[in-house]
Amino acid sequence: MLAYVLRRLLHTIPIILVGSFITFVMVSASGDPLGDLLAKQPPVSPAILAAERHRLRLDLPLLEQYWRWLTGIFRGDWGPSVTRVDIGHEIWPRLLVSVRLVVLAVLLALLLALVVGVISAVRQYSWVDYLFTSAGFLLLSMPAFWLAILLKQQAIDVNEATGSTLFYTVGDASIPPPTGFWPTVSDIAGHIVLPTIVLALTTFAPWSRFVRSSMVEVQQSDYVRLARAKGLPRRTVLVRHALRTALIPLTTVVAMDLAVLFSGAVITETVFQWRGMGSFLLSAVRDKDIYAVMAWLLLVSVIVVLFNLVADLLYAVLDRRIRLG
Amino acid sequence: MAETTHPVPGGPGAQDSGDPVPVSRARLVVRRFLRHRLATVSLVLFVLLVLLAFVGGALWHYGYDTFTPDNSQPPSAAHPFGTDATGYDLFAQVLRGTQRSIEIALFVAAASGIFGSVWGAAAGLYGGRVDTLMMRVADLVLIFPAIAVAAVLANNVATGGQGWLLIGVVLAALTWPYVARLVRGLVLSLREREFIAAARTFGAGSWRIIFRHILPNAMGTIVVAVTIIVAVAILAETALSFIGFGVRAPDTSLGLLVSQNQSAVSTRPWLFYFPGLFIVVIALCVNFIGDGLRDAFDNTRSRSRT
Repeated sequence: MLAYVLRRLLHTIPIILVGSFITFVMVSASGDPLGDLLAKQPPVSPAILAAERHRLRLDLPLLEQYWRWLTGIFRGDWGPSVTRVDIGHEIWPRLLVSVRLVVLAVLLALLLALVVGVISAVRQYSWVDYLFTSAGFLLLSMPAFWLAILLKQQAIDVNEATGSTLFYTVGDASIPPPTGFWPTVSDIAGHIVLPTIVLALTTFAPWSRFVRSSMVEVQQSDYVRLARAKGLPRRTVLVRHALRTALIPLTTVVAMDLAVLFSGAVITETVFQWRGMGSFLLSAVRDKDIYAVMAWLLLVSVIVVLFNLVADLLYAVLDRRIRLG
Repeated sequence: MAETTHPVPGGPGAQDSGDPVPVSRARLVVRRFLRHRLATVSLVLFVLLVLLAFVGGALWHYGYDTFTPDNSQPPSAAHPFGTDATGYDLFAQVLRGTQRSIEIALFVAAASGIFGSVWGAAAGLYGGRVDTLMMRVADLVLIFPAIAVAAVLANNVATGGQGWLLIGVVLAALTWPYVARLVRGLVLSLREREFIAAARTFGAGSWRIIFRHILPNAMGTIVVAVTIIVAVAILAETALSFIGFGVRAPDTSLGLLVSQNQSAVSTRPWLFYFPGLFIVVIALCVNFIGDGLRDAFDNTRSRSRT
C-alpha cells in the first residue's frame, strides 16, 4: 500500500511539473502585466517602469522566470504580485473559504445523489423515477450562475417579506466578523447555505444517475438475489448488500468531478460576492498577475490530484477484490 | 471484404429477429431514436431554435446592436422580450446570443470529437508506452479546473469578429480528453476482436484499421459523447461570458446578457429571465437528444423504456 502511494505520488510530480510549466508559458503569453502602467496618463517615468519590470522578473528569460518561481515555492515564496500583495498571505484564508464551500457542497450532493439514486432504482419506471429523472435533466441543463441569481433573488424577497435577515446573500461572512466562537460559526453557516445549495444542485444530477444505474445492476446480481432468498428483509438487503457495492465506484466519479466543482465554486462565489478563490482567480487573470494565477492553479491542481489518490486508496479499502500494484 | 461489412455488436437483425427484411443499422438507430418521444420533440425544438436564431435573427426588424427609442420597456408586440436601459431590443439580442452559443458549441463538439477520437484510437491501438504517454497528456488537461485555464486563454481574445472561434478552440482544447478516454477504452476491447485480426492479416496498416474498422464501430459512443459535449460547451461558454472572459461587448451572448442584467432581476425581470431560459431550453434539448441517441445506439439495452 505504502509503495503504491509513493509510486503514485512519483507519477504525479512530473504531471504537475509539466502542467505548471505549460500554464506558466500560457499566462506569460496572455499579455503584458505592465499594460495598465504603460497606458497611464501622464506617462510613468521609464525608471519606475524598469524597476517594476525588474520586480516582476520580466527582465529575465522565461525559463529562468519559471525556475525561480519553482524553486521559490519550496521556500514559501510565491513570487511577486502585480498588485503588490503578498500572494501567500492572501491565498490561504481564501483557500479555506472555498474549500469549506466545496466540501459542504460535495457532502450535500452525495446525500442527494444517494437518496435520489436509490429511490429511482428501487422504484424503477415509476412516476417518482420519471420525476427525479426530469429534475436531473433540468438541473444538468441549468447554468450555475443563473440558478444562483434566481435563488439569491428569492432569498432577498423572503428577507424583505419577513422584514428580517433570514438568508445572507452577500459575502462569505459578516464584516466586521462577530466575536466569539459560536457567533462566528453561525455567521459563517448562515452565509454558506445558499452557495452550497447552488453548487450541490448543479453537481449531483450525474452522480444520482450513476447511483441509480449501479443499484439497478447490483439488484439483479446473484448475491443480492441470494440474500433475498435467505429471507433477509428488503431494507437490509438494500442497504447492507446492494448499496455498499454500488457506492464503491462512486468515489472515483466524485474524485474525477472535483476539478469541475472548483470551476463551479468560482462561478457561485462570484454571484454571492465571496472573498474566496473565485474572486482571487478572476482578478488575477484580469490583472495578468502571473504569479497569483500560478499559485491558484498549483494549489487547486494539487488538491485535485491528492483527492484522486485518496479516492483510489478508498476504492481498494472498500473493495477487497481490487489489489493495488 | 472486411471493409464493406463491419461486424456490429449484436448485429443488424439480431434486434428485430421477427422482421423478415434485414434493416440497416442506420435505419435501426433512427427508428429507435424516434421511439424516444422526448428526444424526438427535443430534436424538433432544437432545429426550430437554430432556424429562429439564424434565419429569424436576420429577418427581425431590429439588429442586436440597433438603438431603439424605447428604453426599459416590458415585453410588448413591438418588442416581444422587452428592451434594456440603453434601448436595445432584447429579442434581437437573445437571438444573436443564441447564434453565438450554438456556433461555439457545435464547433467545440466537432473539434473535440474529431481530435479526441483520433487521439484515443491511436493510444488504444498502439498500446504500451505510446498509450501511457498519450493518456498522461489527456489526464494533464483534466487536472486543471477548466474555468481557470479558459479564463487565462480567453483573456486576450480580441473582441468581436473571430473572437467566438477562439473561445471555441479554447473549450475544445479542454474537452477532447473526455472523448479520447472513451474511445481508447472502446478500442482496447475492439482490437482483440476477430475482424481486426482479420484486417491485419490482410495487411491493413494501423491508420487504416483506425479509420475503416475501429471508428465506425465506435461511432455510437462517439456521437453520444459529442452530443453531451454540445450541452457542456453551451454551459461553459455562457459561464465564461458571465465572468467576463467569453464573448464581449459589442458582440453579445446569452451568458453576457444574464451577466449584464443580473441587477435588473427584480426591477425589469424580463431582461434576466429570457436569456437564462434560452440557455436552459437549448441545453435541455441537447441533453435529451443525447439520451435518445444513447438508447438508440445501445444494442444491449432492452426495450423496456418504450
